[in-house]
Amino acid sequence: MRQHRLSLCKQHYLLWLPDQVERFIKKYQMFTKYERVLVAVSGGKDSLALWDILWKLGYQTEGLYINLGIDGDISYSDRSMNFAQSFADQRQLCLHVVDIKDQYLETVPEISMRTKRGREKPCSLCGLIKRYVLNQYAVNGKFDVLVTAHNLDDEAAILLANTLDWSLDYLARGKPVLPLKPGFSKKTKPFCRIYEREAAAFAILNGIEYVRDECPFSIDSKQLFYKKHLNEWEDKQPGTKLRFYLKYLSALEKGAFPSRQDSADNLVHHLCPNCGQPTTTGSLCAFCKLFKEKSISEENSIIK
Amino acid sequence: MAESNATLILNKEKLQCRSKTPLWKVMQENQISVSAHLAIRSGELITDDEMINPGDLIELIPVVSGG
Ligand code: SF4
Repeated sequence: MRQHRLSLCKQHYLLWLPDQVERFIKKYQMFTKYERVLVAVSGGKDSLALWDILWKLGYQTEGLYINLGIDGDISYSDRSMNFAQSFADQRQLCLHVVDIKDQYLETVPEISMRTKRGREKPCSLCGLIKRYVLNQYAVNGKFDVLVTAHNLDDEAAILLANTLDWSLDYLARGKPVLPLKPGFSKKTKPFCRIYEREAAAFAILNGIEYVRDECPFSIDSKQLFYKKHLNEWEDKQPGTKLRFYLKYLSALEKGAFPSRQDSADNLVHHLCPNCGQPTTTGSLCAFCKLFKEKSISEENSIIK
Repeated sequence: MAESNATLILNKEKLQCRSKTPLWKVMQENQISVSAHLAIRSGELITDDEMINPGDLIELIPVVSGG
């Protein structure tokens, strides 16, 4: 690992990575062993490696898989779910599943096809749906914290995109921990300083089976574009991604990106008249607007 | 002259490469990002500073995902 000037054998690597993760959980005060942790699981290398590490470290975890109904001629969502389910079964862990088609009568590709936002950017709509469902599940299920497996490469790519756009609102919100707020679960990213390659190496060395196919919608995604460039820099100057992210966190800490009065975070939140989740507008939240014509019935709420 | 006596496999495609050279160098010569891949030889993960031996079959696994 040139970025850390470190070379480890398999045995030590499998101890080193969980140690690192635990260090960051403590450093950023993400959660403790007395709290209930909901892990967002996609069936990919990052979320399964993270769940494995948290489980081995003795945290109280349950997983949540959201079946988005993406097929792409490779049964992408169903296959991903099978990887997540066998991972949980092998370790006797509890995996919750939310099937978007069962709950909302349409798959994510179907919703994308009939909405302007989805036709233009399926990932933006998919992200909105995932964020909503994860948050609602964590809040209604009374979990203390929601954990996602965003890794250093994800964070660096988002940071690069937000910097190129000077998206000050997003730059003000890039901490690895988002605190608990009314209607919003506490959210943390224990892999925020773990390279994507390190997470993949952990999964492979540990014999974790994960979905290797990419989501068919990810082709030409902006995030992959930024990651490609960051990796070119990383190849030439190992440690670039980590430096970029850590220097940003330190600038954020020093108040370089203050939260503005008119940012979404500071606006008074109203409750969505359909689902009761907080929203910045007085009307339906962005999620419920997607189903405006379909009108989601009471029975479709995820946890009663 | 470069020896063409080892094989890299990337996305099911085979690529002939020279041996007795560190993996990172061969990847660099073939414009394959070291940061974006892991390498497996005979079922074992190897680091990018490992020497490629004659006859090696090395599978490169892309690690970048996103959407
Ligand atoms: S690549 Fe896009 S559509 Fe596919 S799962 Fe990720 S966010 Fe959703």
